Amino acid sequence: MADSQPVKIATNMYEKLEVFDKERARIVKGNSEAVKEQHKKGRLTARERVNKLADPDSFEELDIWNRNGVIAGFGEINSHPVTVWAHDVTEGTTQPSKVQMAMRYAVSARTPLVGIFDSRAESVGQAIQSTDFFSAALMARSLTEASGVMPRISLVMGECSGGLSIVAGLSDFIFMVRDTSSMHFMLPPPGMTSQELGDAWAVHAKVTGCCDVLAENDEDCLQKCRQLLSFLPSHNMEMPPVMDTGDDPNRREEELMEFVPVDVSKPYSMYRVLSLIMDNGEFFELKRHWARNLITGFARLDGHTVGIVASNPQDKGGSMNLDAADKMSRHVRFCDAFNIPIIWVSDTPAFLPAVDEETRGLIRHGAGCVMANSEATVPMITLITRKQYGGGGLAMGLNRDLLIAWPTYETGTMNPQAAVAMRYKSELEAITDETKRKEREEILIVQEQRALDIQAALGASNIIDPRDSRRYLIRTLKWLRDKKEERAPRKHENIRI
Amino acid sequence: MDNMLDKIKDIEERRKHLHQGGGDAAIEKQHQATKLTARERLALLLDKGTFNEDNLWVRAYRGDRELPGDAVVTGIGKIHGRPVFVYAHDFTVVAGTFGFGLHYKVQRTMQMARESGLPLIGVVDSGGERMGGREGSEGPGSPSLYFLPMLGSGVIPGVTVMLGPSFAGSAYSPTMSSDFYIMRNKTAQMAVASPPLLKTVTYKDVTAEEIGGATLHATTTGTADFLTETDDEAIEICRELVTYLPLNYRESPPVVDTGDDPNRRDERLIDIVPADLSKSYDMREVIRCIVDNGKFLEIAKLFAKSIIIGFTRLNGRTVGIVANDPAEDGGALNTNTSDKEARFIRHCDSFNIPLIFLVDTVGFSSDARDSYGNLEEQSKNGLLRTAPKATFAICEATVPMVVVHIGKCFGPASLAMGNVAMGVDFTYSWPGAQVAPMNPEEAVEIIYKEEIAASKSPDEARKEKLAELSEEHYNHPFLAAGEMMVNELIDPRDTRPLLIRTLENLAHKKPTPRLWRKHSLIPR
Repeated sequence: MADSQPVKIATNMYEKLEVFDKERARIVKGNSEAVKEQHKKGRLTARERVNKLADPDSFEELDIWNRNGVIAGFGEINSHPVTVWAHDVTEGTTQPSKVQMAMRYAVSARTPLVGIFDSRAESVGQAIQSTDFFSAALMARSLTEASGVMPRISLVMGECSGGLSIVAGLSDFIFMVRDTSSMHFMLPPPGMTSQELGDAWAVHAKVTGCCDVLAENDEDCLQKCRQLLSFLPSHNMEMPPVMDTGDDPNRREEELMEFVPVDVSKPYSMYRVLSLIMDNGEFFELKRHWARNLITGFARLDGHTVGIVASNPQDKGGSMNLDAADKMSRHVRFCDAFNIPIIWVSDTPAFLPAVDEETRGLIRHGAGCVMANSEATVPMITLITRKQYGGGGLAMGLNRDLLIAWPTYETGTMNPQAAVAMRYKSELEAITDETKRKEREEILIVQEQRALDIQAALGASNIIDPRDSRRYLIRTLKWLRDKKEERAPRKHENIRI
Repeated sequence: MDNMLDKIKDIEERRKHLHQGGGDAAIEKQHQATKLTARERLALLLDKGTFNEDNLWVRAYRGDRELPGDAVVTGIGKIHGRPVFVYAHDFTVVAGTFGFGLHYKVQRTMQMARESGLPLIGVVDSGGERMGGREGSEGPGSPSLYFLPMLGSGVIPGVTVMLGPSFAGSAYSPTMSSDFYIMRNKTAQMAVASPPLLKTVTYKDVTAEEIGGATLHATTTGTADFLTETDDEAIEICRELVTYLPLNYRESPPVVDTGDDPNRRDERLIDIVPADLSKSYDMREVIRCIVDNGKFLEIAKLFAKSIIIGFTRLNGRTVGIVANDPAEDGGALNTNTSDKEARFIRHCDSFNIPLIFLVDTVGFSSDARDSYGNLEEQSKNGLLRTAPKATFAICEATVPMVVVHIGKCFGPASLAMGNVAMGVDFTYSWPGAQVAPMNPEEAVEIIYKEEIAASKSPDEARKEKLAELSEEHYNHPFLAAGEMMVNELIDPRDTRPLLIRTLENLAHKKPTPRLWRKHSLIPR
């Protein structure tokens, strides 16, 4: 504080206060050169970020005098308390102690934790002797302790590498900003930039699936984080917030009658189906650009948060695969931990038959997915819009409370054409006359289709009018709202990894 | 039939008939495929005369054909005197396919195992779901082969001995219910798709072996933990494996009198690790020198080979070993080692088995030298979704954990191999170990950036500074100990007695109460 001290000694409360106010103002103003530099990169400063993240004037900084490249404190988002920390690169090196402090606060206050990453990893001082050697380890431990207790969100808004990338990887949601953020564990080899190695869009949104939400710029990132938190409870002993969305719970949608082609080989937009059913057509999607054959995210029904897991008939015919299994199990486990009912909207031919899926370990990842589904104890409903063959039933909500379907529901181990081709192969081959064989085949297919229709009806809790989907889901969720299911004590499950 | 003896005789005759399963021809066929029958397998698996069968008498038919036991043998028996629940598919009866009776019997076995707190062992050899086997909707929480494994997960140990095929959805049930997978080469195959299906959809000709063979699962997918050549061998491994495990999560593993001296110092440990840490050595030999009678049951030996995991004993008590293998790619860490390690740690933690980490790894950086490997690992393989799993598993674990630094451990590698900040109880270091926040090559680039840049011959300067830096810091064990990254510097020969004493001292460690949660959210 030395350089900014007033010359005379403070003699009353006003003057005493002024000393601190001045110092605070000086710190908040920051190093204007560094601030300019940060803005030139298309990034906001840490203070700008936390203030835009929190409701206006709600952010309270803690430990401001201890300037070590991190801003930490609490504030409110949509009037709910949150704990926030942010790297402040304008201060040069960032030290981890305040990050750890924020994490401890979040754990004891049971608020969501939002961390803003923007730091070049190592500095000269930390290369050899480092009292902060354990920093990433301590953060990892706090985040592990908080895992499943409060939502933990990482906003990667600059560089994030080394141990810090593991810390980010331990959180529930990772947001990244297009073009201005990167994340990688190992340092880039000579000749490669940080961006090339861990670009938000090209690497993490599209390929690794680490990026849950891709933002266009800093403002967008902070806004999307606020939006995500509006769906979530503060911690696991709370129910998610209920909002007055103004959408009529009894709204019927004529469009749903025409929208889904009966021919299972024809695709349609599952996004459209979701938007017709959910409150005001709003859907907050996660990992949109990765494992696109499966859609995950949050929406509201009559103001209540629901977790969505939906097949995407426009990508790989809506089939499941290894990445989709990981994507689903992560989302289902999050929803379960935070009391968010789950709705599967299913139109899937089950797991994708592909050699490299098998050799990458489809079974163990698929088993993790089935396990996540059977583990969950929140209200769970599967709505089948069309097909669900074979193992699709295991994937799309195994231990659900209700399975409801539209009249276009098709089940069985495979489609009727394939079933007939396989089961009646010898009978059909024995018919030498091609016209007769075709005739016989068609009869068999019709028979098979009828058998499947009956099987479908028997397997479903109800076959509903598609137009009533919204109303039906809202009513069943209301019925199941207080659902409780006990599980025998154990240290933890040993879910397939 | 009016007297008791006649009735008994009648029962015994019928029992004998049911024990024949699919009949002589089918048994002959099974034998010709070098496979044993379900009953022969159980006879090998369980101690003699201990098997109590359950529901042998289930009425099951396909058309007019009787299906003895509905293609499965279930019950309870003992392994080395300790009870376990078992089910074994009977391939001689309609290829061990799943019908109503089989579903019920196996579900009941799973449920009984969990409720009685006993391990579940499944001997798998099945054609999968039987056509027209089972229909109908169920309410929530109703038992099924795909729901019950989750209830038992982390409550009782599960082992699957896969000796025959298991395809499509039916492969999920054993995969979920087992902590350990033993697969037999050539006969055991497991895949979601089948070769005919792949042919229809992708027009590719593949064999079952290529998409789901035991070798594939043991080496590449990491689903199988043991690869064996015969039924007998697979069953023997299962019997041995169970001796290391408690019956359930409330109990401790059995203590065995191994006869090995707890104070035994092993002179070989002085010479085993070369002074030059870039030279490799046999980490398994190190393990054998330390543990009781050199006996080590290695798990997933053929998958992610740069990390070694397995069970052994110290003074008769089970411990789990997690060790880098410097002879395999410098003990490099990657996505596969993380999965392998995380799963094992979580298993040990679930079942109260202390963990010993033997550390010597080049870290995650070995691939970083070439940009292709780097991209491949960090991008396609999703390193940042996977690497945190190991970190998470260690932070979550509440069993006694001890780290022994033998060679290298720099920076983030410690997040994968444990340190005291993550909850490891004690960290010991051998005199030659190098433990630091950064590897010397990287540190030189950062600390002497300007000197190197200013030098006329940067390579020379780099070399010179590296030597300086190494002499000053890395060649002595005091750096890490001074920073309290390491709690004690030890004589390698003392490793065994010290580990035994340490674990004795930690025997009363109890998990500190955690914040209530339904379950953790380990990264996926």
